[in-house]
Amino acid sequence: MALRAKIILELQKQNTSQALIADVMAATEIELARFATSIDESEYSLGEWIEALHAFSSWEVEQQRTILLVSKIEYLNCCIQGGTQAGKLQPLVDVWQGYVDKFGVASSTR
Amino acid sequence: MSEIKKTRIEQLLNERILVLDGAMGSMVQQYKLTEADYRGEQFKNYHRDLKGNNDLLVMTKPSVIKEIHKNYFLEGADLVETNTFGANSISQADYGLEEHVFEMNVAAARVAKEAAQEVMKEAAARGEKRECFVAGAVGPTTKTATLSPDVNRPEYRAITFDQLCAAYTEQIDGLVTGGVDVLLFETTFDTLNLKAAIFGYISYFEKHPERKLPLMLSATITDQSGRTLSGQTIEAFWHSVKHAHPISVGLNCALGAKEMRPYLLALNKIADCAVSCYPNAGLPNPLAPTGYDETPAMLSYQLNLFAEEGLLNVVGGCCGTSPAHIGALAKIVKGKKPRPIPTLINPPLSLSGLEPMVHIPGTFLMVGERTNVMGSPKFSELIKKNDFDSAMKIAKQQVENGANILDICFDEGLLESEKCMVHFLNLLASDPDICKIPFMVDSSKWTVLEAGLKCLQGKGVVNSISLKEGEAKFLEQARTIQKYGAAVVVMAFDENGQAATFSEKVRICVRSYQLLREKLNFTAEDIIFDANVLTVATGMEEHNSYANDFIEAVREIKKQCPGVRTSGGISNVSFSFRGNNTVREAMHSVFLYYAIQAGLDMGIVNAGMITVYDEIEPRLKGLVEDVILNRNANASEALIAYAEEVKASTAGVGGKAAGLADKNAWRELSLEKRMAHALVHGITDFVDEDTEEARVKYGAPLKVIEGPLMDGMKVVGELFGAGKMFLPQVVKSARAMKRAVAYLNPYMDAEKAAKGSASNQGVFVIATVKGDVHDIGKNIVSVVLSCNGYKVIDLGVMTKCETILKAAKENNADFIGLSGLITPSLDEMIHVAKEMKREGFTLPLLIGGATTSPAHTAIKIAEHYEGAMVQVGDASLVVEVCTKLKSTTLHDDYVRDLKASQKKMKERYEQTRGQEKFLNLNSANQSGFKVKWDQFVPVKPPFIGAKMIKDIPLDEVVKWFDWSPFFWSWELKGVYPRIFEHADHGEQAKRLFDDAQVILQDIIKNKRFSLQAVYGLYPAKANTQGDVMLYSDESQMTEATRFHFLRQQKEKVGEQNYYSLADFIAPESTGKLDVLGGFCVTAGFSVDELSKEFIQKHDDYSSIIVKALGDRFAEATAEWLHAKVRAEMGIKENLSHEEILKEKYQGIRPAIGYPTSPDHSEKTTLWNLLGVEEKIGVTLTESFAMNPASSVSGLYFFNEEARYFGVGLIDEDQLKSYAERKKISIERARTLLSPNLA
Repeated sequence: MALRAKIILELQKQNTSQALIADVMAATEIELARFATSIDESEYSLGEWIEALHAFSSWEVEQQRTILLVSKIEYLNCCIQGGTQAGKLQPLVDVWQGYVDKFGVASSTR
Repeated sequence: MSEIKKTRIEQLLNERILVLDGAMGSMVQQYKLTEADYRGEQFKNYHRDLKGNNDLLVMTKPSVIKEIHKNYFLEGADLVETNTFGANSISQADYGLEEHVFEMNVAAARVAKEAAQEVMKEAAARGEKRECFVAGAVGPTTKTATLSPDVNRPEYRAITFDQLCAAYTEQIDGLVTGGVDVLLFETTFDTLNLKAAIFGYISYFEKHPERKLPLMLSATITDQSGRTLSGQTIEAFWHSVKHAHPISVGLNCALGAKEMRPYLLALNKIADCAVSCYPNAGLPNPLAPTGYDETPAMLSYQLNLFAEEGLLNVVGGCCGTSPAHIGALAKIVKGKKPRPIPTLINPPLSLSGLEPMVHIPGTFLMVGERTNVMGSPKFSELIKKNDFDSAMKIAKQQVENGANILDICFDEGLLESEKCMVHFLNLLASDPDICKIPFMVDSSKWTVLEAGLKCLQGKGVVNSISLKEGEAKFLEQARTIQKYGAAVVVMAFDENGQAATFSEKVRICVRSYQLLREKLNFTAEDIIFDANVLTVATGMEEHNSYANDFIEAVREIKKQCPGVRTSGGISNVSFSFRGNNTVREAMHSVFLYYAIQAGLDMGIVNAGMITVYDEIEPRLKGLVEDVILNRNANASEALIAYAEEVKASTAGVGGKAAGLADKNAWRELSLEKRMAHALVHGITDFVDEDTEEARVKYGAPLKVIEGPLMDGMKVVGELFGAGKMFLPQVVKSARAMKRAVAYLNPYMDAEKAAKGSASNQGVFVIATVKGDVHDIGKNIVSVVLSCNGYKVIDLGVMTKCETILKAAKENNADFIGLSGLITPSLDEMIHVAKEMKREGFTLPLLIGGATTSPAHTAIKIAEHYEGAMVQVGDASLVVEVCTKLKSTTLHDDYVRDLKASQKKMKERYEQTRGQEKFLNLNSANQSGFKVKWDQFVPVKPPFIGAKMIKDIPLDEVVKWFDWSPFFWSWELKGVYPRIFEHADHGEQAKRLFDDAQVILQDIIKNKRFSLQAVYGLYPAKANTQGDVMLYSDESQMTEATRFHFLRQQKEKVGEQNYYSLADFIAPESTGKLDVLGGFCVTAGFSVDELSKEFIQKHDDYSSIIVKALGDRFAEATAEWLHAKVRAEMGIKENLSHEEILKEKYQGIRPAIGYPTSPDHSEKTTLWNLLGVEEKIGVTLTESFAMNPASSVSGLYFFNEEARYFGVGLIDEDQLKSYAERKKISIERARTLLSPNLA
């Protein structure tokens, strides 16, 4: 199955926001490939990434902010890399929440 | 004097490091000899048991001893010691075999020589050249000449100098007769025993000059006190024995090599002969096969470090060592340069008691005169009453008053001077506060002097000899003094009597000097001329020039007799004014002032009878100077007249009171001037009163110290520097200062307590857990807590659980903090939590370190302990956490919320685990990354095997620094150099960076760190299971080792390569041979040592910087080495520093224990392959952390497609396969890979 399709299926399964689906639809092949690499190189499954991205999107709306998909993915990568080598102990969404609470989210730049 | 021809051993000492053998006793034990073996034929019917008398075996079982000697030679020893450690009449008395001692030593020498000759012959038959030598070993005996075996009788000795000398002489005779090449007096724990041996050695070869053999000496520092058993420091020891002119001096026994290092360094600085070191194999360990800790690799590593530092000429092993140890040593020191043997130019006068006393030219030494029956009526009375204990107190006071040397004299008609001298010196030896300084044995009788010398383990001074009885007697006595190793006071007396004039003094001293130097080669700095201080202002005109003549004679003697010292009995000058202390004190002060300027080095003086030069009443000073310098013909009369005035003013009913009133006139001065006066004069009578007044006036105790007290000490310093105050006065001043500070201490403590920022917020026990060596973060937390008033008990690194809990109990800890950097430390933290629960602890447990997280703490640790458990990710948060936990109002809510959040995390974890999807192992293996192996052209490595690089230039490596992690270790987030622009902490980062630069420059300039590396390249190929096999050569006949790698297994979304490091090595199916490399680099233990130096100066800040820099150096060295290896492998590149930090080069160097290769235990494979521990001394802890911490290791993959990745989670099938491949149990594999298991 094509990568984009895989991701969208998971997005739909988790009832995520239309905005997030639209972001994935609009992403280039290279951006999607990098997203897939991030997932594959992490301890987390696609489903856990989507869960975290969904929470991130909801947060965006609350905060009236707009953050690019690729920046959200990079932020999540940072959360994972900033973690320990103790293995996967928390869902990615909880890891993300911890970082947002502690450090916030800086403006996105490319 | 003709030059003595050097022996072959002496020649070799300059060419290479000589290897001495190892232990004999433990080797003999391996033969399991019986009583019958020990008796042999000769002692078959002996009336006592002989088993255990190993020295006897040279007569009864020589084949065993010979075999042991041969084994050592064959392993590479250049010298073996004869089996004669206890072959002296004193030790053999335990077996009743005294009469066989000579025979024993001859037999031992012969057996060792036979072994040497056989080995040399066998080597010659093979066409090799070997030189094998035999050292005649002389042990310390079983008795001590300095210490009493009976605590109730400190003056008693179980053995005398003469008895020891006789025993040693007999042994020397046997060894020399038996044909040894050199004598080795070893394992010295009592220097006086050794001095007796040296006396015997010198005397023996005086009688038999044709048999002369060189001498080696070795001392034993018994424990971490850094002293011999009889209490001497190693420097004091050397001064005591260097008169033997040994070809080498060193250390052996009692300690392992690492523990010996500071004393070896000290010896290196002062010894002008070769230096030897043959330590024990570490510390005793009854569970180890040899009874000692260290393996051959461990011992040879440590000693190699010494060799690399240029500290050694002779190396070997003592207790616990074996031929294998010596073999390892011989290999590792082969080809290393020996320590260059220095020639001392113009060495200073060096004396010793328990401690060394080195006279720095230009400084003045005080010789205490109160323990002299002629000079002190009080002392004389006590001795006559036999009250030696009270007499000891006088000696002690002299030392406390600043005497550098103690003059001891019992020349009095009614006393048995020899007996008194021996008794008193033996008593003094029991009081370290007194016998730390050297003694001057003073008598007009030679027999008394010699009796005294036989009691001194230190290097003392003989007072005195002279030409009074002619040249022959003078030289005979001087020669004997040389054999005792003492310095000598030579009086300006000759056959015609005492020298009184300037020219006589100079003539006699010069004559004495020439005789001593030319006839006896007497060491110049050990000659002390006393040009006779005579009394002035006697009323006789011819006496008027006496003081000035002495001063000018001192000046001239120093010119004409290079290297000598000068002395004098100072109080002689003022005898005319006995009873008039005011005048006498002024005369002493003025006399000393000018004599010292002329070059007077020491004086016998009563420190209480000198006044401060600047404080002498001006008129008196002028009069005294006129007399001392003989400035006018009426000087004496004028001074006498003044003296009468002083006498009159203090005489009569009001006289004393008037005198006292004058004396206390300074009490009318201002507070600050009074305090200064008290300090300058060392007056303690009013210290409390004045300090209290100052405390009230200045408002705070610290202001008193920083104000009038420091001002007063500044005056003392200036006067002392100008030669207007002398050392004992300075010592008295320091006492007055200490008294004032002691008065203020309770007020300072009360202040701290009252401020409530409190001296003690709580007790915090903190440690890096067992198996982990990292401590930068822990140290920062310790500092933060200390600054906030916590009492921190820092247990350091690699701390066992029992130690932590014990410390917590003993110190009534309020908190325990655990730190860890590597993943195995997490398991250790769980263990500590469990133990805390088991032992009933309830106090809070704080967790920190790079490997920890709130999630791990909540999910893995918290369930094992019922008390509060908090993960603190940031040092700056620790105080807040502790405050909440301590607070009676905040505690309950905080802990409740904490436990709730931990419970939630755990529940979330339980819900979400097990949802991962994996490929099965077979499919994952088939889905590995496919390098185009058909296009792969194998590269031949430039070498196969491991290489070591030592002393990598620091200034070269510093160019490879990645500074960003330096700031991260200080919890300053950002990337260098942009971090300096950070809005919050940019400025702080800059200051930190600047401070680090200062320390960094010192490290580079003074080579404080020693960067070392070991790396290897090996032909390699991979199998289908993920193993990579390495070979010893390209024939692939011998597999050197294999590494076991894991493969990604979690189902992927994108790219379908499931990576393993094995994918980057040519598979065996290609038939092509690839290359895999490995490395370890280190900044060495010197990082820790430098860090500790700062801690000792209470500078935590710099100590943490040092450690952070150590890590940067290690990382930069890894980067430097990787670039070098890539170049050696023919990889061309042209990259900037930034590109290198971004890893733009070809190939990768993954670290074992990190995401690409998560199993830390694979480090053991790397260690064994490269010989890391033996070569550069980096060890692995039980958790596979590298020690020292500032070390980096990893593997080299050179394929251009090699990349970093994370293995991530694996499934049970791969766990099982991994366990099978590694030949370990599944449980063990599960422990090693726990972070990678779902």
